Amino acid sequence: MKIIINDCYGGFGISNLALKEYYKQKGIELFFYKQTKYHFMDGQDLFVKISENENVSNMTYAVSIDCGDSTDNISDKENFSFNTERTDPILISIVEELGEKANAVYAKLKVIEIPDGIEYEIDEYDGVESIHEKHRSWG
Amino acid sequence: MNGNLPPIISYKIRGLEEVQAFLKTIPKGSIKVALATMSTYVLGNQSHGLRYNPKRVTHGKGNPYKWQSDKQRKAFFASNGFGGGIPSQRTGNLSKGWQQSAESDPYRKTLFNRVPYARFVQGADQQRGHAADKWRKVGKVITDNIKGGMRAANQAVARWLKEKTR
Repeated sequence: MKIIINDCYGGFGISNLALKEYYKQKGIELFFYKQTKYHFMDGQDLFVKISENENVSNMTYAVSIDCGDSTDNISDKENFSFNTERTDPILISIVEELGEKANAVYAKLKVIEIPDGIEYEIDEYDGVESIHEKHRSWG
Repeated sequence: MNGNLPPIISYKIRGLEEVQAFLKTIPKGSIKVALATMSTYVLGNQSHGLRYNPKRVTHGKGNPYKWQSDKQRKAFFASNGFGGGIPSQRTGNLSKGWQQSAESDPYRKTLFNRVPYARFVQGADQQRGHAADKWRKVGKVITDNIKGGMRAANQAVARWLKEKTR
């Protein structure tokens, strides 16, 4: 059984490229926009299209509608993210294929293989994760 | 804990180069939210940050505690743990001692610990026995947690912006 963990200080996360590939395999094309202007301080919102290869850490929206090079309204569109299991076979194949390109800014993903049928838990220490077999202890 | 006591260990998150660079990437109005989230993250809990305790090590004949010197070892036991008693289990006081300043200026966040022995466990005067038991110094803990802090801050800023964006 394969599981994806994060292997660096920071925390689990996938890149825009990995997210795009993931939804592509589900038949959804994603477009990425970065917010560059804010209504509360600039008088208007502005979202500029970015490449999926641009692995920015913040203010990125992944939407399934092509809004052109820029748009002033994206908040009403569904923002796609990755919220499924670490054992998702589609994501595992993407991480294996993309390697480092699958990492979000604060992540370094690693695919770990454990024996089938093991009851496991993911332990985290400063964002670095490791897999442990569940066990009970007394005393 | 006496609020008038000077902090035994303190650290200013905003002074870090990585944090400075990060703050430049977010809208000015959200810096307060980002700093508060980052400070809270670095303070941590049972799985990360300054409040994290490494697993307790069993010391015995095969794995003795590493004293600075035999003189220190003898003095510790002769003085009943330098007057503080010889601990048999963790009190959690060191972990609970980590706090963040409630300064009037929200852009200045200081993390501090006033537990008197904090500097011997996590500070500049760290004893080699604590280092051997996997306690990290404050600077190292903060360095190891800053990426996680920025990740958490990003999420908080995104939520904050969502509320602000029409």
